[in-house]
Amino acid sequence: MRRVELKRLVLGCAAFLLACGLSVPVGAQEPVDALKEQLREMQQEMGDLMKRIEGLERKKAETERVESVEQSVKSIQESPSILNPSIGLAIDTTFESRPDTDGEFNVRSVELGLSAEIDPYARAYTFITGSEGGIEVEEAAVQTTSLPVNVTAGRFFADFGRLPQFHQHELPFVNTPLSMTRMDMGESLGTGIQWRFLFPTPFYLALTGGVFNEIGHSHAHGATGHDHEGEDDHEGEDDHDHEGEDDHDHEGEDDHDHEGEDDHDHEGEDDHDHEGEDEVHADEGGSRSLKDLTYLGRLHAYFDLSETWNIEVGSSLALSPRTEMEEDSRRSLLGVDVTLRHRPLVPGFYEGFTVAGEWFVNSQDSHDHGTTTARGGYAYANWDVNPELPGKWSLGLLLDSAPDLHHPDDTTLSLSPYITWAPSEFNRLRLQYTHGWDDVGSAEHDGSQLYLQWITVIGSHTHGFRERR
Amino acid sequence: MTSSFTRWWLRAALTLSLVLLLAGPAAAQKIGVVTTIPDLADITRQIGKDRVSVRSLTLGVRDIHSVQVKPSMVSLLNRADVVVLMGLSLEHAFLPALLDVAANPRISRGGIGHIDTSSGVVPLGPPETLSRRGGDVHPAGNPHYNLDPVLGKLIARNIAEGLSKAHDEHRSFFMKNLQAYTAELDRRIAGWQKAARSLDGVQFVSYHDNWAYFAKRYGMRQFGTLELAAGIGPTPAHIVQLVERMKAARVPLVVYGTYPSRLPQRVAREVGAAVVPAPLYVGGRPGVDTYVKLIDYLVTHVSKAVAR
Repeated sequence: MRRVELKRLVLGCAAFLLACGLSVPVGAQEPVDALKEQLREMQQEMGDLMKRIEGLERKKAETERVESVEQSVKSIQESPSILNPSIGLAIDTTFESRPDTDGEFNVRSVELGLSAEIDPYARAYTFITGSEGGIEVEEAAVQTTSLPVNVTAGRFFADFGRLPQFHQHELPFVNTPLSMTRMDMGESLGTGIQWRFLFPTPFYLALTGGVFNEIGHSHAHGATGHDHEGEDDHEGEDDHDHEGEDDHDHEGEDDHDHEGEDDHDHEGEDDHDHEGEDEVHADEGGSRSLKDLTYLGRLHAYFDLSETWNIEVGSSLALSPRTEMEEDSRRSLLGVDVTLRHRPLVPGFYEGFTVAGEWFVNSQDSHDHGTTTARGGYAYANWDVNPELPGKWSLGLLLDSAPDLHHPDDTTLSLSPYITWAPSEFNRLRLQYTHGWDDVGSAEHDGSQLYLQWITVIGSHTHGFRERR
Repeated sequence: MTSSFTRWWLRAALTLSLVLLLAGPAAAQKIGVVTTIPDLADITRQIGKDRVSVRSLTLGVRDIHSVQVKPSMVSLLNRADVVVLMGLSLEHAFLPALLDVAANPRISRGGIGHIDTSSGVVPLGPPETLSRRGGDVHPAGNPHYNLDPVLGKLIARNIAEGLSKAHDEHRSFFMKNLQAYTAELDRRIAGWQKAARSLDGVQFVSYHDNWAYFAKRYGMRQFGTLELAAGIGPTPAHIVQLVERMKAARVPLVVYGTYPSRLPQRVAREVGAAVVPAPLYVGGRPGVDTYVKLIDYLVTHVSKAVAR
């Protein structure tokens, strides 16, 4: 359309100028020649302009074609993540040498992760974990993405503490700290609903609330190497207490153990560990009163102290108004976590430092046995270094203090130096030595232990914001 | 005991929550923009001027591929009207996870405040096969197009159009600023083109493959990378081979950005090449606080190094 108008304009101008030229008196031949010359020049310029316009139009068409192709390519590239879930697989294998075994290889877990957006309002994800003990749906949850409050529902890691929310293969060291396992929070797995509100403050401050059937690790998942340890602990405690304690303590022990197992196992135990647990679950039926649920609260803040330093602090509370084994017993678990990080602006040999710890207070009130309070926790320091060798390297030291929940004065202490080498983001090897000093009576945690861990990831694998380092 | 510390905890949490809710910041008058890299922050400021308040999630001295995910980023994104990103999977390691928990549908993908500046960019070097054998590949192609100033104009246009779409009442203001900034870039681009004549045909080695667009603009030829593959660090065997090849081909230049300096300097020393700690983003070197200064620094310092 523009080309036609331009042509008309050129022709109009030419006609006008020609008319002007013809109307010039005969005596003024020189100006006429000048005008004719100007006309020729203008026609030439117009011709050039037309060529330029045609060139630009061709270029524009080419650009449009490129943009169209680009859009198609983008659509094709992005369609798998839109129409199909992202799929990833993480394999966690270990070689372990402990006091109770000279050495054994374990495939601790094979974790298949699927995640996708459901619609503009929510996303869903699941982690299906297989181990030598079987297969379980470790997480299956839906999470809102468009509400002012993040709501998560299903089976998932409750927002309790920091490392309890990590899958075991994402921990900075080989094993879940025994203090976490003893507090029945090896992982904060639970079935329920949780909401997180972000305060409109200049710094990060979030408040989480939640209601769950229970929060804690399922024994079904505990078929992995480490979690056998957790089970063994209980067994060890039983043996220890049966032998050395009076009747009263014996009763208390049973109460605790049953309760602890209930807290852990309500979900997975039914599926995988029927033996010995039928009595516990026989009277659960299909309904619960509100007192039988576990209530969660967490306040979590983060501050950038400078461009290189930051600190994260949190406090969590899980409250069970009535435990299942005793009508009038109640239980609470308080956790406080602190994480301090440093990352230099200019990396060299030293690339960063993290020091973190969590302290737990487990308290159980019952009419018959009064209050039993156990305190324990862990702390670790991790240095990222670049020794100019392939991959990423880090060195760390973990200190763990895990009390016996029934006899809080008895504790298992352990110190674990470890070194991690990641040839790439998806491939990680770790060597860890642990020395334990055990008062509780679990022989496997007393003395020297050696672990070699190899974690590999294929496909799209991410646990997102929750498991940030 | 249980009830006493439970009550204490609940009281403390509720009191603090109430106080902070009441003391929360008043609604901001400006358009809140969060960008992923400082280059986008500077260009957004040129377009939005005093009508925008801009924060970048990352610093220019950091490696964009290993950004530390911080909760403070969630707070910024939660309050943002607009997020501006490079796209082409450059931010895949941190942005999707942050947007999932930011609870801000306005800036999520497909939202009106989600501006992907790669629109219209023809990516260089898309992988022939999508496999991690090639390292941490970017499926859509090389995402480091910010180092081409001509594509800088496209970034500015995409930002202006995105801001106008999200805030149509300021459209004429943004478009007028875009025109002025584009004219400024055009003038600079002509100057940079002249200043970078000596770079034509120059071979170079970089730490990571983030110089492709700069190299194409000024006719440089990427000889190799110190990394074995994208996101896979250098290995001794790879470096030995690379050094031998560089010596044979007389490669005169090694550039590195946000990466550790010892290896590039050692390789340059062994080969007899010049080495330039060239910034990859605005803020990557002292004084490089705008996009224009970034390109200016690169053209000037790389040209000088080659001339030597």
